[in-house]
Amino acid sequence: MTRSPGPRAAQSVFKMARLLAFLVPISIQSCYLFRQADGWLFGNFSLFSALSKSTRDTRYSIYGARQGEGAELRLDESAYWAPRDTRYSIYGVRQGEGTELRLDESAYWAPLDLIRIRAALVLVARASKDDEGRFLEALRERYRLNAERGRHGGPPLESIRIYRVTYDWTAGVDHPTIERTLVMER
Amino acid sequence: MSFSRLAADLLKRNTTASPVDLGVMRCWVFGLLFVHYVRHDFAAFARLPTVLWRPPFWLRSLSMEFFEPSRVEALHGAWLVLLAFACIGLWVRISGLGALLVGVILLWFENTIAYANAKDVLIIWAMYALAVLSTPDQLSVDRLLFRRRFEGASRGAMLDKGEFFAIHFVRAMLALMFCCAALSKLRTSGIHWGTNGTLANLFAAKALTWDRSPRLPGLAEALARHPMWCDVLARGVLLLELSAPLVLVSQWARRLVAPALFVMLASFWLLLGISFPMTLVCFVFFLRFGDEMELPASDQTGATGPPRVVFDAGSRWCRACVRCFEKRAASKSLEFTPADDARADALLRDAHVSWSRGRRWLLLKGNTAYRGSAAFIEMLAIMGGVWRLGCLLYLIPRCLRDPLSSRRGA
Repeated sequence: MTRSPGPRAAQSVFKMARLLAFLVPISIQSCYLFRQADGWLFGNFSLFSALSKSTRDTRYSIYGARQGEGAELRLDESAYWAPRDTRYSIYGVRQGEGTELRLDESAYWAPLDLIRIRAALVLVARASKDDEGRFLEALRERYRLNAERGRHGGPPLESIRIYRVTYDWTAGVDHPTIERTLVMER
Repeated sequence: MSFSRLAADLLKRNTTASPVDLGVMRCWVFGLLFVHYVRHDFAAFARLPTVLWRPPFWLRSLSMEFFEPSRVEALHGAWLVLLAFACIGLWVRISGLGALLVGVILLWFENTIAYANAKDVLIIWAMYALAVLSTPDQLSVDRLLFRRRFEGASRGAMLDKGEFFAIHFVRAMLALMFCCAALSKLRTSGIHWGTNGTLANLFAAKALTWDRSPRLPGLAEALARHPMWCDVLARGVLLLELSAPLVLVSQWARRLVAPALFVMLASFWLLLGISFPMTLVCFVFFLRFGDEMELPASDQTGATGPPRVVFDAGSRWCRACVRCFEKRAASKSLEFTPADDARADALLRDAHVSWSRGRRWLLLKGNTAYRGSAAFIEMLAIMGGVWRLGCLLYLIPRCLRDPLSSRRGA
């Protein structure tokens, strides 16, 4: 008398399915070792992988001649040159007094984080004025809600201003110069 | 030998886990996900302009209107319930799979708005491992409610439920994540990433652009003033990320590289204010919680008799515990033997188990030997009643629990 192979076959299929469930995601993720493409769930986690913006544009090799001895010194290092960074910065205008308050802090906007807000600002700036307005309105609402929920102690706002700010720390991290241009207000 | 058996053997050799381990990992992963997302407002994303909706090309037909705020709120509520159930282990299969499914939908939705953040990716794979590759039912309410279902399960059967697959899977994804990050840096910037002040610039940018996310104030600024140190740090980061796959094959690497990677991620938080809380949680898959070994079939000393305990009689703490156990557990009849007694020698010899004075306790129960603090926790479980709550001590990693219990005994 032979026993039915049913349960054993089912067990073997189950084990094979589990092995596939194990191997397939690992194989897909392994592919990203060899290609530069970021995605969600699979990707190559390229956060901070680029060189500083200031040095990426350095195409010529720069040498300086030392005073006195005249020997050459290679200066292709970002430490010698003006590191610059330009990004969106969010300001709020206080209700009543009209003074500005810088709001580049996640607590004001949670669950939106600053990286996402900046990415969104790029997208709405490319879209229409309506979208821009809707997004700033959504930000103001977020600010108000988070204040109500006790996530931050910021004052009530009259409006939100988005500046494009360029930081330049040629003279060192302790002596930066900052230029800003107003790009949106609501 | 079949391919699946070969793979399973390879995994078992590199992932020595006790059945308790994955149960504890389930509690930590689902529990901390619950805590992290309980106040998260997913509906906020549904209120943003549709121009920010960036689904992948194969989902372009799906409109953002589908995720209306009330629907997202309902999904969020359901996810929290499923996470709580999966954490305590109530209907663990259903709640685990449900938590994975709803979690993927919500996190995918969030990351389709304006920008895809890779921070949440690993925790999804951890949920996948705990829900699909294995359904860890240790330390679960299911075991209390449906006791009969678990009574007949042998340790061997428990071990065949995919613990090795699950643990090794999360470790592999973690190692691949770091390795991909290192190769991405090398591909994009070459070795210059670690030699020309990129990290110093990053610190300076963070300090000056004043993203006031929670971080240690002044630390990024201080490091930015020393580009040479930053370069050394950058090369260290590259080396560490490239060596991440070693954790899959070497125990020494698991002891050195895994904690170093954890510290590196935590430092991003402290220095730059960029947090990876849920990725940090995934390091729980490198910890051990249980400490047990299966006795050879011929030496299952405790299989028939009462559970036997060998304890360090030189320790006042152990003696006091034994007195307490003997008083309260008369009906449970734990059999205690001091380690310096001749009977203990015979017992250990028969069971082929070695005794270490530093571990204080050894419990032989059925076909399993428990050592150190794990033996103590199992004794509490045998006592029954409220003493079973002692099983919650399993939530403390063994590397912290064992030294604590041996110091107590000194």
